[in-house]
Amino acid sequence: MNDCEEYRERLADWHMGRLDAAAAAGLERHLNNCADCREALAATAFVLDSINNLQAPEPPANMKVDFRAMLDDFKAKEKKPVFRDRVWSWLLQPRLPLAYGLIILLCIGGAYLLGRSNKQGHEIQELHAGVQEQKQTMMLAMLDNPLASERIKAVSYTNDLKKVDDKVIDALFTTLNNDPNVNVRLSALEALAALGNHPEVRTGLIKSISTQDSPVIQLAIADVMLKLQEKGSISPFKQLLKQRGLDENVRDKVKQTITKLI
Amino acid sequence: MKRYCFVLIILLSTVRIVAQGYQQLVVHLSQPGKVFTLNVNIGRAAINVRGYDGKDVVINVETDEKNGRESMDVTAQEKNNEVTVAAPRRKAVRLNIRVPETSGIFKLSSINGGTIMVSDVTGNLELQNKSGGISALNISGSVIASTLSGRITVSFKNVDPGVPMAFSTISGGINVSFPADLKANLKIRSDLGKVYSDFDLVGDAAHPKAVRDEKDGVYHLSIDDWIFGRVGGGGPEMLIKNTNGNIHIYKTK
Amino acid sequence: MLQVKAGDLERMSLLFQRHHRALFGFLFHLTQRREASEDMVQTVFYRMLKYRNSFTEGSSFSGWMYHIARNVLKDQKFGFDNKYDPIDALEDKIAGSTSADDSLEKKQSRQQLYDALAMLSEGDREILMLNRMKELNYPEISEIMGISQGAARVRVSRAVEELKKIFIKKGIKKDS
Repeated sequence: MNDCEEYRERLADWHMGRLDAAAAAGLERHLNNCADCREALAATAFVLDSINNLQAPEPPANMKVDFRAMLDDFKAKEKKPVFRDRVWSWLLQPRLPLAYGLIILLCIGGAYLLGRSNKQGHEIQELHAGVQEQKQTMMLAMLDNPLASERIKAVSYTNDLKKVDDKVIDALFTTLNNDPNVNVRLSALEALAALGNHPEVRTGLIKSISTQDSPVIQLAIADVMLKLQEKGSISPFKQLLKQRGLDENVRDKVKQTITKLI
Repeated sequence: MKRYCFVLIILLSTVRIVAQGYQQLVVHLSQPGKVFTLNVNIGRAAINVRGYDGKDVVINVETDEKNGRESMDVTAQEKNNEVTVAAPRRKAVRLNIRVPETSGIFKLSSINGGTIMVSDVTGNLELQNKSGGISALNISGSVIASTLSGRITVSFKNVDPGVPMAFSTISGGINVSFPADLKANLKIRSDLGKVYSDFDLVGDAAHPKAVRDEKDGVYHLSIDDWIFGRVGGGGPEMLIKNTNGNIHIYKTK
Repeated sequence: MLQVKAGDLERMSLLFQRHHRALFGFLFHLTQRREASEDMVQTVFYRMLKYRNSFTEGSSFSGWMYHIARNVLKDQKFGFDNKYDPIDALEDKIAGSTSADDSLEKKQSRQQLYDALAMLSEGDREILMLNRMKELNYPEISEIMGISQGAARVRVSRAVEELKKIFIKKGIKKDS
């Protein structure tokens, strides 16, 4: 009977699944033979289940807003002016066309000094690549700009890039998933929609169905999935419909979209 | 004389009118006349910002004191021309803010306190609401506005060239008037509403053709997609989108 | 979290998305104060950002987060006084949360459970709330509480026994 005391100390752990296999087996064997301990287990289970099933109220939406504000504030305080930032802000001023002009001149001048070769076409390609890289780097930096209009501008530069590489796609997804401004996220979504021929874009967009919580974006994703005829979105959309508190307009649109995709 | 971090909080005496709380905060800018920033991010706030002929940012606060709570805790801080107005979470406030007419950056957001209204200001506006409308009138500059349920009404005196804009809502009409010499690429979509405009939207090769009904200036689109159009030869992108409600894009008269 | 430590502060928002609900629940069950719990969640995340350098590779994020949460709780010095903040009661109606929809009976039995929890010692209450989270294992729980694993196990079972007695006293029974 003294063992009972020892076994009873393990009842809570057993009920929570926190006992290792050997200890659990030992306890179960004892329980088979001890009515008192079985009774004690029932009481333990009742007590634990009662408090474990207590539901806290749903944290309100403004918590996200507040967190955002805190994070942005924190980041701003942590940032120290960097030489690189100063160079970019110089570039972003109205002198930009001049900067481009200068770069092009330098490239051409450089090409000339290196000596004309038969590979004229090749040099022009390099020239384009240089400008392209410049634009891409500028775009990536601009996505961090404190002004939403500058971030939207940065997103729009993807249309000007001849070749869109992984860095750009990643940056667009980061913007889609994290930018504090709904309209910036929307513009990132639209830019990604135009890149639907990249398989990783499709996968990423499908993933974002479950992570986006702004109804405006959810609606837009539904439109994009329909346009891209992306059947891989059907399953996450069905999951989304199970969400409580889903905006009615989103619910309607997602239902429509699923029907049209099937 | 250089001024560095300059934090200024002024709380003047509270004046009780019946059960209401009222206070005024006057915030001096470190560099008056230069570009200032106004940040308001308050959950339950009806925000009204107007430009005026003055150098300070004046904030008039009204709160509903029915709860019998004593604290007035609405604060305004200024640092290097950046003014941030804050209030305790879930305190319902009505803010009437006067700002200089010179150029500013406005980041105003609320969740369910009411309408966000801005008028007669110059600069870059970022307005976000959730259940409430947005109105920005007689603006010189650019506006990026979004809400979930509420109408968006914007009118421009002047538009910053080369700056993209966006107006999005779900349930609510969108009414934007741009100067007649606007140069932009419009990208418009309303799932269930009609799109009206007196601008000439010129299509291009890449995009489906938008057909305008001459009778009432309504644009229709045959497929479930965006309406594109260049205005004045083209320019930065203006994204205008809603689900329920009509969209009106007119020339400022 | 290691990425946040390395400087990618934006990752914190992902951690927030994943964990803030559970953290809020934990704090709410221990205080019954909604507004205060919201504030404390923000404080916890702020401290995690501020002290990100003290997060060591190989340690569990949840363990670290709840450790900080306990400290934040201690700083608050609440009495566990079982009353809903009048504002919170109003908010429940506005938010249309579960508690507003429940029948009176359910609300009363919920309140009884909170009353029972209030009669436990603070440490017992805390350890039961930690134990409730399946994602925390005993090594983590013992580290959060600052006691040995063995002591943690014993503590849990003793807290349950205490609660059993309280249930009997308050007449909280299973509906058969």
